[in-house]
Amino acid sequence: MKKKVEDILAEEKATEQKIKDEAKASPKVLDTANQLYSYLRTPKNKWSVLEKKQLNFRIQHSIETITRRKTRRIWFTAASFFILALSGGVWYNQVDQHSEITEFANNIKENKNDTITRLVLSEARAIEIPEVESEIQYDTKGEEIAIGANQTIQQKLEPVKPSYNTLTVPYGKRSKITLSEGTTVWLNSGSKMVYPAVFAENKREVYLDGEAIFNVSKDPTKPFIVKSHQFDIEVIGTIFNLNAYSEDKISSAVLKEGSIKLSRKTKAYLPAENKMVSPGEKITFDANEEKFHVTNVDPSDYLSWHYGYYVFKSETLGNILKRISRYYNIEIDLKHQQLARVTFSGRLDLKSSPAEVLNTIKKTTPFNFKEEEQRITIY
Amino acid sequence: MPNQPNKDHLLWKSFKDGDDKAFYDLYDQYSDALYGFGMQFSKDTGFVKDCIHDLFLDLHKYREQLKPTDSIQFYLFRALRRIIHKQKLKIGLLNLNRNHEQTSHLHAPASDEALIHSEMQQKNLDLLANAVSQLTKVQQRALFLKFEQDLTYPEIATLLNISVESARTNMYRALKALRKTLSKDRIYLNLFLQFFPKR
Repeated sequence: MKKKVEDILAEEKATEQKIKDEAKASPKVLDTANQLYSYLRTPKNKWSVLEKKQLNFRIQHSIETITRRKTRRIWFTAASFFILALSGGVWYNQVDQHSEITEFANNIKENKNDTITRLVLSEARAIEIPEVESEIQYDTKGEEIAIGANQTIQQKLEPVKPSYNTLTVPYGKRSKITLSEGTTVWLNSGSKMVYPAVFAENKREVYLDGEAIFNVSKDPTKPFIVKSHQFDIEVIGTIFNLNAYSEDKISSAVLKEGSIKLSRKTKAYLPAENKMVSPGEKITFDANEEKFHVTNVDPSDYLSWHYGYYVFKSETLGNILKRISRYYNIEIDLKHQQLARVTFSGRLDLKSSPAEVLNTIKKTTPFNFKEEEQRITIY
Repeated sequence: MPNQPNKDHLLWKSFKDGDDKAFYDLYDQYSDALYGFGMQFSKDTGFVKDCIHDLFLDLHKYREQLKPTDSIQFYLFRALRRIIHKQKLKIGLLNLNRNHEQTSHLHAPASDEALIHSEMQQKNLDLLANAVSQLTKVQQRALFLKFEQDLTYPEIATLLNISVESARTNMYRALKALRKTLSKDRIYLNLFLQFFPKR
């Protein structure tokens, strides 16, 4: 009897080779069998790499929330010590968080009194940008950089080594920068970011000291990592604000979209402590307590500064004044320290002068102030 | 995905022993298949993802109590099937089975990098996809499990809650129906074939 298409394909182990070797069927039947076989083997319901990674993040997050596993942590520590004892220095090197980019960032000489935005390119060539609100855009090769609307600069890049560029924004200035792979970063006053002109094959890594909003372009094959003095943040594609001034003891991140993973390394030989953050969450790390705290917030309050205003909800005057002082590059003196703990809620328009901003706060939070050149005293 | 008994056995064991990397390796290796499997039972991607999420949480929670297995894929399919069934009962079966709205989704998605075919091929694929959508749910699922997932008849029977004999009959009838569509509509998928590398 001649075999039909369905006879061939219904066999327990129908394979391409078996279909080819089928002797009891006509060439036409074999041809049809092959076509149908190929169609049936093609995956019909596929999800994207991004969907897969997002669900992975979600699972990680859930597991973490459910298991506050103290016992496991002890076990981990014990195991880590054991391995440390076995392999000594090698192990230390492998897990040492000091990456090349952090090293580079820490070696930059700083001038805290600088009043001009500086872009440092390869071969230490520095470009001065006088605008208060500047805009910088890299082309996809990282070689051509547009500054504002009228200026374009070229830089030569070495093919093998990563060429780090640095953008330093002093107090009183802001900058918006678009990196070579499409991520946009708004740097707030008194911030510094180090990034490679072109990113590596497998990851995108930048270093931030200060405050910035990241709108990370989606690329599931290359996670985007923001390093800071207290923790690292890993994302795929998302919008979040990171506040991590190295002179502050408290750093925080607020997520608007997507998901991010924070990791903090306490000791070189211990595994990093990981935290997942969901949209609408604010995660704070306090160096005094060595602990993470998660609170629910309205993310737009933390992203508003790049539109030119701050929104505060029961924020202490101490923190608000610190922000205003950085934003306008003025010194603010509090004569009575108890005022620092008074809270204020409301919207502050940053386009107006510091005196106008203080007058808005004064309406609900009574105090007096006097203004001198680059200095305000509150009493 | 061919079965790899030894590898599977080891991966499963290290996962059970508390290796977190093995846990996420499991996810990396099997979540694509689980997603395809889940989509056989619901057309709601959010629902399927929720079920996969719950499956992995359960795995993590009960890892120490899990039995050893040589076919993780089969094990996970069975577990996911249970979760989907449970959740569907919870939500109400009717809401989720409105798949007739989305029959056009049954053919390979256009985003597939390999699908650089002419309008002619697209038409043929649509015809085949349409023919598949005319089959019963059990037949569609059996085809998926056999051809996309390389499972055996006994495994297919267990997953679909039918006898091995019934699995064979269903498969045979499904293939026959598709063959008839092919010969009737004179579909030639030669070009299409070239774009799908042999697995």
